This record gives sequence, C-alpha cells and structure tokens, in this order.
Amino acid sequence: MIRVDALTFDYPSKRALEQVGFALEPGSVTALVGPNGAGKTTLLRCIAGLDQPMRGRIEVAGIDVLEQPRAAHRELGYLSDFFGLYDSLSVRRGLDYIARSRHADPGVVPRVAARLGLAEYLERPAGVLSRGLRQRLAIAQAVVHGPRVLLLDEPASGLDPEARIRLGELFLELRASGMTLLVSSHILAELEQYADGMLILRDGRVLDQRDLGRQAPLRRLELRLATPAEKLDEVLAAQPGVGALQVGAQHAEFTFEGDAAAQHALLARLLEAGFQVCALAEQRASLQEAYLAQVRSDTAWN
Amino acid sequence: MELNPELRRNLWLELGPQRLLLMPLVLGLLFALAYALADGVDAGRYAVAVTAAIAYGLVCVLWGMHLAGEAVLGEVAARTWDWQRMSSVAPWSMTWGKLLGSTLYPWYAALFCLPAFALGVASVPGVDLGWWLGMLLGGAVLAHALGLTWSLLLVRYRGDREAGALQRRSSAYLVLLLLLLFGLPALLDPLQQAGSWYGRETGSYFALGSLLLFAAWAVFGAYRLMRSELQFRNGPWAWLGFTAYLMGYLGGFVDPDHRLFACYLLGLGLTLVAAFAEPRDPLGLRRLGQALRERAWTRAQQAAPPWLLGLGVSVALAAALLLQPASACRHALCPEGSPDQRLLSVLLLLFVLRDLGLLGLVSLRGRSRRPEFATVIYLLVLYFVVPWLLDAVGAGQLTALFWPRADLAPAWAVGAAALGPGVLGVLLWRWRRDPGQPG
Repeated sequence: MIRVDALTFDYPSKRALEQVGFALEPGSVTALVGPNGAGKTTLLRCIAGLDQPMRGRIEVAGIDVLEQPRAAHRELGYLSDFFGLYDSLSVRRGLDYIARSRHADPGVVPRVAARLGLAEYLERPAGVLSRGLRQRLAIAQAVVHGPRVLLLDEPASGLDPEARIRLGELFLELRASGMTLLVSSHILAELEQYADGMLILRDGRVLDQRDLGRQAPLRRLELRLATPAEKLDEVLAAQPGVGALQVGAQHAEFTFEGDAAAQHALLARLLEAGFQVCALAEQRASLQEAYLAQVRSDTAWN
Repeated sequence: MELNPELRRNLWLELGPQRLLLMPLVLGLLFALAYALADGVDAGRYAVAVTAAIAYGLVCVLWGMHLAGEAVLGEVAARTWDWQRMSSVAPWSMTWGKLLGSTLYPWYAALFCLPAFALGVASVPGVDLGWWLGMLLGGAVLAHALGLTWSLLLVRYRGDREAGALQRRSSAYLVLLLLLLFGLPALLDPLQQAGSWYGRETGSYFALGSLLLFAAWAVFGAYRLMRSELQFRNGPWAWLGFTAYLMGYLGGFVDPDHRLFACYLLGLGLTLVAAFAEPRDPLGLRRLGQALRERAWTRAQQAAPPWLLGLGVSVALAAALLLQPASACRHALCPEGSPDQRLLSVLLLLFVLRDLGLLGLVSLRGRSRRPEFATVIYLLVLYFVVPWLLDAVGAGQLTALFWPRADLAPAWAVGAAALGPGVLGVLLWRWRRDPGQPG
C-alpha cells in the first residue's frame, strides 16, 4: 500500500533522510519510531506529498506521490504533530468544509462524526473542545474523504491515558475497515496496543523494519512448571518445531514454529511426559524491548 | 452549482447577523455626521462622498489587503494550511475563493461606501463617475491580490516554514502599505497627465487601464503561487511573460534610443527583486542542476527560480547592447563625455552578480535571521560608505571595486568589478562543498 524507495531529503544544511526504503502491506498498522531528529516527521510529510525530497520514489495505493501528489491526496489522510482546527467553526461545519474541499459528499459528516465519537458535539465550536476531542476531530478531518492510507504524526501526545486507549481502539477500528496506518510516536507502550509492524528510523536511515508477530509463523513461547523437573531441556529439544532453547529448572523459553494446534499438541505431549505444566504461552516481545534491542545492537556495531 | 468551499467557509465566518448590522450602522452614522457638519446641501453631499471614499480606502482597500494576506498567513499561523494544501480544490478556485472570501466583509462595506460616493459626487460638475468607480474597484482588487501574493511568497520560506513566514509578516505588510500609499499614486498620477506612450497620448483612462492590467497581473501572480503551494508545477513562462509585459509597458515611456538600455535596467531590477522576494533555496538549485545533468528540460524549466530567469533575460539584453555600435553614454550613471554605454552594461551586470552572490552567501550561511535586511545593509555599505571613504583618502581609482565606474579605463573598471562576483563565487563554492564551514 505504501512503497518508498531510496528516499533522500535535504534541508539546506542537513540531510534529513538518506536512502530510506520500505514497503507497508494494506490493512496494517505500522509504528514509526526513532529518537528526536531521526526524520520521522520529514518522512511522513514526504509520503503525504507536502514536502519534496531530493531523490527517491514514493508510491501510495499505486500512485506515484512525487509525480501525482494531488491524485495521491485522494488516497491519503495526514494528521500533523502540531495540527490546527478551525476553532470558530462548529464541528459539523469544520467537517463539512473539509469534506467539500476534498470533493467528498458532505452527507458523510454525521456518519464520520459518529464513528469518531463526536456525534453529540456536532454543533459545538471546535475551539471549546477538550484535547482528546480535538484530536478526534482532527482524525475525523483526516479520514472524512475515505482515504485508504492514514499517516499520523505523534497523535497521542498530550492525551491522558484513557484518551490514549480510546485512540488505540479507534486505530484498530480504522484498520478493521481496511485502512493502512503509519503512526509515529514516542510512546512505545501505547503503540503496542495496535501496531503490528515497526519501522525504526535513526539519523535519517531505516534501522530496521519488523513484523511484531501477529501472524508470524515463528513465535516465542514461555513454559512454566509447577514443580522442578529434570531433563526438561532434553525433552523440549526433541519436540518438533522447538528451537533456541533457554531452560531452567521450572522455566523455559524457546522459539516455536507452528500454529495454535501444534502448540496444543506440544502441551499434550509435555503433560503426557509427566511435566506439571502450569503455563505455556506466547511471549510477545514488547515494542519497547524490540526497539531498544535494535538500537543497542546498532550502537554496538557503530 | 457547488459553491466554492473556501468562499462558503468565509461566508460562515464573516457574515454573521451582528456584523451585517454593525457595518451599515457605523457607516451610516459617519455619513450622517459628515453631512450634518457641512454647510449646505451640496457641500453636505460632497462631504459624504469624501467620507465614503476615505472609508472605502481604509476598510475595503487597506483592511481588505491585510485580510487577503491573512487568508494564507493566518492559516499557517493556525496550522491549518496543510489541510488546505492537501485539499482537492483547484488552484484557481482556491485563489478566488480566498481573494473574495477573506475580503467579504470589506466588500460588504463597499456596498455602502460606493453608492454613497456616487450619490455624493453626482451633482459635482466634471466628475467622471465611471472612471472613479473603476479606479476604486481596481485599486481594491489590486491591493487584495497583492496581499495574497505577498503572503504566498512568504510561506515559501521552507525549513522553518511557519516561523519564517510569520517573522516576516509585519515587515511585509509595512512594505505593501508603503507601496500602496506612495507607489501607486506615484505611478498613476503622472499617467493621468497628458504624456506619451509609444507616441500616443496618455490620460486618465490610460491610468485606469494600467491599474486594471496591473490588478489582473497581481491576481495572476497569486494564482501561480497558489498552484505551486497546491503541488502543481509551474513553468517559467508566467514570470518571463510578466517581465516582457513590464518591459513593453514601461518601454513605451522611454525615448526609443534608450529603450533597450531601459529594458536592460528593468531586467536587472526584476532579477534583484525576485532574488530578495523569494527564499534562497539551495535544494531548488540542486534540483535544477540534477535536471540539467539528466537533460530533463521540462523539469529544469520548472526548477529554474525567477531570479535566474531574470538574469538570463538581462544577459541576453546585455549581449544585445554589446552588439550595438558604440555610442556615447547618456545616462545618469555615466559622467559627461563617457565613451560608451556598452561598458556600463557590463559593469552593471557584474555588480548585480556580486549582489546576488552576497545575498546567497548571507542567506545560506544561516547566521542572520533576516538575510534580506542584512544584505541590504551590507550593500549600502559597499555601494556608498566604502567608496566615500576611499574618495576621502584620495584612493578614487579603488572605488571601481565597489561602484560601476564607466569613466575609468575599461580594463581596470571591468577587472575591479569582476573581483566581487569572483570572490563571492569562490565562497559559495566552498560553502557548497562544506555547508558547515564559515563562508
């Protein structure tokens, strides 16, 4: 849905992006992470067709953004980190204006407002809304024309925890409707709620792009026993699909190649072998751990 | 037919019931006061006409210009400009939607001022009402279009886009205000007198036609800049067309013998104006270089900045002047008896190159928050203070380094004038190799 190749962006005295390349699948939510100054905002603005890179190619929904930015805008919604709203206009009129200016049917406004939880605020001026509601209105403005791709730059900054959770739920709803989301944020724990992929930028380069394991065939499992058992390592090593073992007396972690049925079969075999299993569960590395591990390994290499 | 979304939004914002009532009330009181204070019916009507014209000038022209400028700068300040840049509204619709939409309220005031003016002067003998209305309406359109054009120029300051545009906002309005208050009358007043334009007499309707044509160019300029903001690519033809128009228009007032030289001076002037008005964008030049290397001519045309186009035109005109037979220099810059105006053409080109280089260096080094103002100060020192000091200490020959001296030996005058652009060229080249080092 989004394909970026060899993207290079220069500011007058600084290179902000260097040969950035990646591809995002349709219907995915990807967390764009990296330290301050890594180039996240610049990358999002280039994909949105708002800034012109020096070199490279960007495709959104099959449209070359640099050649046809206006056509790409029909498929794109973008929420900047410091967005503004038409504070004097009511929520209804603000959305109506954006819908008309994007050649969308203004009749969708009540539906979009309801989807974003703004139905009861339609007649209120945007200027009196709370931070969380303003964020929702801004997202409503970004999606009112029904884009297939939504780019969000630090969407949760300044929101309280409850509003952040609701925002995460909203992103999952948008993904369920077929939208592809690229979300930049500093708050990794919050991204974990909805991201199924991670793109790490550092010093204007892609450090890593990884799937966070929702559909990954290779998973990491954690086994806990109620009582210590001998030969746990031998038994586990002999099981099909098990690899990269780390075993203690009552505890083991290993990679497992197989689906839920294979996992159930493994559990059955362990119980049959007399192990007092009290837990066998998938261990998802937290986004924060994955990010820090990648950044540390990169720092070590440098 | 669908109403222009930008106009619709402004209708919602600008024309609330309270505001609709307030304007006629205030204006009505003003007109009544003017009438009451005058002595007699005719004097009263005349006082109303004068009051209406002043109110129109203040509200519709000046305030309207401010509002038209804010139509874009206000969006940048409120961080809503990106919404509009990503909209599907066509550039022309966005341009006229903003021009008319942002100035709805001043135009609403004009609905009361213009009839009051017309009624007031109806009985005054010798007043050409049609001409007056044309001038008043044309003046307002010109002012609004200049406000919008100016603000669209300001938002082109990239990098610190918002900050850059907003920092320059107040000084931009000041320049526009001065242009309107002094520049326009200075241009239009002489045109109304009997004069000659390509041998034809000028007069009041020539002035009106000139004003309307400049208003049309200003609207066209706003449209072209809006295209650029909405990610359309502009070719070089609009700027070249405006340059040609201006040369053709102003050339009509100049003696045929001096017409080419006058056009050359205008070309140099427009080059400098464009260089100072637009942000100095090294990336744009790199894109131009890349397009030229790849022989992508269309892209190269689109990437060429207006100052470079103006410089190209000036170089072509300088070449045309050099091809002319030698003739005595009869311009203010040449002292009596100077041998050749061709020498002056070369010197002027070299000094403009120096000025462009200086502006480029001051801008690219990024040490000055207002590189345009800093460059103007440097240029004032280089053009006036240093030559004056050199003259004072008896080193008059050295002033050729800082001022076009067509009265000196050509080799020395040209060599000295070439030193400035040469040094700045080297400094710019060093900066390009290593932007971090001091220029």
